Amino acid sequence: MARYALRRLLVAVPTLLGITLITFVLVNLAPGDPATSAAAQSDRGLTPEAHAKLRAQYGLDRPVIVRYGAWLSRVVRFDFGRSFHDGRSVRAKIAERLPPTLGLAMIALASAVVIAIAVGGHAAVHAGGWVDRFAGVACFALSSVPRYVMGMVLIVVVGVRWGLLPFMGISSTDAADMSAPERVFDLIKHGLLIGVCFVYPLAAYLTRFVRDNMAVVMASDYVRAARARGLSQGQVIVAHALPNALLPLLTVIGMLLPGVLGGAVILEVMFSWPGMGLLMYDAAMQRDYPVIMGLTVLTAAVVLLGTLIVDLLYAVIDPRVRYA
Amino acid sequence: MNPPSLSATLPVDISRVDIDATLRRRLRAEPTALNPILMFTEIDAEFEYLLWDRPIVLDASLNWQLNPAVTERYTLAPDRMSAVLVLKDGLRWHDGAPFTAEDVAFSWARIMDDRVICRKARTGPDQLASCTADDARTVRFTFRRDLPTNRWNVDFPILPKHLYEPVMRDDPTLSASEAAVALNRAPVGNGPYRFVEWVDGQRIVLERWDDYPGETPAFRRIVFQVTPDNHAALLALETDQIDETPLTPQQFARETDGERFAAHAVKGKSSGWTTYYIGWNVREGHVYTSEEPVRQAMGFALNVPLIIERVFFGLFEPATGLFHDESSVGPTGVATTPFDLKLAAEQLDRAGWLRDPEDGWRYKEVATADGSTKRVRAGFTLNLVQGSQTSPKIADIYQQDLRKIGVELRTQVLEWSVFNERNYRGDFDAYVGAWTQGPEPDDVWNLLHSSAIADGRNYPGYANADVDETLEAGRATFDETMRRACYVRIANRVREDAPYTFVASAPNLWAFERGLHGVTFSPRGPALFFPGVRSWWRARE
Repeated sequence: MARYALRRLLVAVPTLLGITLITFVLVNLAPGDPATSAAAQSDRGLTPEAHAKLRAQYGLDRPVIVRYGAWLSRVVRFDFGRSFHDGRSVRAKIAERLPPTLGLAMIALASAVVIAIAVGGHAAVHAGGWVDRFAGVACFALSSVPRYVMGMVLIVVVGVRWGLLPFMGISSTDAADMSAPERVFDLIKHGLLIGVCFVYPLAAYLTRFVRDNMAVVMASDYVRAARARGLSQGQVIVAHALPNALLPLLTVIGMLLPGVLGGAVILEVMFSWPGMGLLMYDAAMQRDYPVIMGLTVLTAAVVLLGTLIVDLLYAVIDPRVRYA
Repeated sequence: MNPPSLSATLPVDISRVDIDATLRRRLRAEPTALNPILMFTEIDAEFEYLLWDRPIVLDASLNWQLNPAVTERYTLAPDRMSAVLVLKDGLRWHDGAPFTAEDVAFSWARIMDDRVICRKARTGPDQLASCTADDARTVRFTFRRDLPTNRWNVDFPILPKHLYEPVMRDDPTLSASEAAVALNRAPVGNGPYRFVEWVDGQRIVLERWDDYPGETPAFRRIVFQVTPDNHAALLALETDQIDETPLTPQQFARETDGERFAAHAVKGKSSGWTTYYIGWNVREGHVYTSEEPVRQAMGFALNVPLIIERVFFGLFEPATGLFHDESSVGPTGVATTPFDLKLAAEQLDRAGWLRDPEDGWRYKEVATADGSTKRVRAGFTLNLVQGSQTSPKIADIYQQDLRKIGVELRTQVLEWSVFNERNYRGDFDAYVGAWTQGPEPDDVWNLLHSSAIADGRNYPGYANADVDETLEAGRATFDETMRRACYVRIANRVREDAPYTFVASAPNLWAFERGLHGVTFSPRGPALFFPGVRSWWRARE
């Protein structure tokens, strides 16, 4: 098992390096650099000397590959540099924005899995029943609604027309004056609408996935054998069918993680949610290379870590994997 | 017509005013830094007007005036080559340190320091020869030249020397070190509001400074709520999450007439000095747009009335040229360019851009560097900023009309910083831009003078010796009548040479929570002038 984990870890390192190299080169090859941008935004432009100094300050006077090497040598020491935009440490900026996005993504993923197992499992066991038919239609319908459309609908209907929930930011303006339980309640209220936008596509996809897998498992010989041994329906499902049906779910969750984090950008802008997505949007607009790279590394690391954990769990559950 | 309640002035009976109220303002994006000499965007300026008090301020008509809270007097020397500004006695920064002439002199030195990237603050102060402190309250300015604009040139943001001087020793850029960043995110000012907190990505909170020497503002707290999306901002106003937001023309015309809006908010509109224009690259390499008759023809082909109706929902005014009619230059009498495709076609014919009956496009034989000629199709690429709701619609209307007269318009949508860079480098055929006129007509120097091609915003590369001379004359003369004559002449010249085709003047379009009072507008909107937000109030419930 340890060898398997080590092997997977070794594969993750070049993957992460590859991602950072490609992103670094792409970001630096994109038209526009922060020094020229600063000059263009100045009333009187910048003198050539000031422009050169600014390029040197940003490290833009060196070839891309040299800059990448320098950046990499800092990153291994967890130094992501300073933001070109406001001079703050990139690590501090990301640290502030990580919890809102990651928290939302994790809660969304967990909620989606619970919904998928409950609804998908029930639909498979009672195939052809009303839950199965309704869930089938609902999942297809929800899968076809883009998250930003759902976001706008929720804002207009739930937030504005019904006035039930706030839809801007992560907390109320008077949150500082609230007690701790009030602040938690306030946070939940602010996170509900954007949370729904995170959850529903995942839940729709995973429900269909669980339902299909479960249906296959329920029709398999060993389930029939278990029933023949006189086990109750509940025992058959919980002890035999579900574990086997859920095994592939782990892989799928690992694959869904990049989409969850990537999709945060538009939702966070829409809901003014101060997470990594909003930070990435601002950084891209401001040509803030260090922040873009810091976020890329972190997102890639989170995704790779997620995949690694899923792979390891898979190996724990299914020994065939680690001996393959 | 704005609702009268919106502009209701502060009542004499202060018990009617809720002096503990919080004003929740919308912030489209976070400011760059809360350091007044590094600030350069309108978003940054929102804070500058509340956290810092300069010796000189602009009133609602953008007139120059001394700040009654800070300045005792300003005296120009008889030879007009120097001036003395005397600060009021007992001025302090928010941290209690004295605000002195040394702070003013220190700030000027930092603004002029090439190591500090001052995108905006250097314009004006760079015309001073020196700025020194005679004593704790007396600042002495000496001027490079005897200019009427010098009274504007002495107006620049002030930093607390006692806080920034130690930082400067290690970090002359005032933006790269941990200490500088910390100061730039938790500033110490001298204005009516002091900084409380900046919650990254969420809000910035200011609180009334009780020791402010000027008139005390009504709101105890101002919370700037980060809300990037225009739609979300309007909905937030309607659900009582913010108290004000600027509106897009579409929102003002179409999305704010419902009962829900009326129950929560009111609209405010005023004349603005921002003008949309098309800038043409007049440099020789740009075969089509470098020809003056062609640019004039392009002016005739721009259907401004239709653009105002369809793109700006009838809310904008046709641009009257370089200067807004309400500015100090006043109506210039420059004739607006009529929309006339026939006239445009004739003009192009005369310029030698002739229609090919086979494909319908216009062509011209143009000499090349090696002495031969090549056939060039009439057309240009119009650069547009990504995210603009209006520029693509303007381009669409323009494209259809130009096609009718055989001219090809290609559009290129560019992300904001790339768009800016292309303009800065002169790497474009044409672009849709917007220019906000300031209170001083000499500001057009930066758009029109040939020297501003290299170090200003003369992106088209326009150079006209007569315009240069007249700009110089306008800058140098103190006679207001003569100055006005200079700028009228320039406006006429620019219309003839057409480095810019002016499209429409944008009004200020805003929405406010119903209970807000004391709101007046300047050409810069409801906030960016003196007293601006300081005069807003809410009645006690």
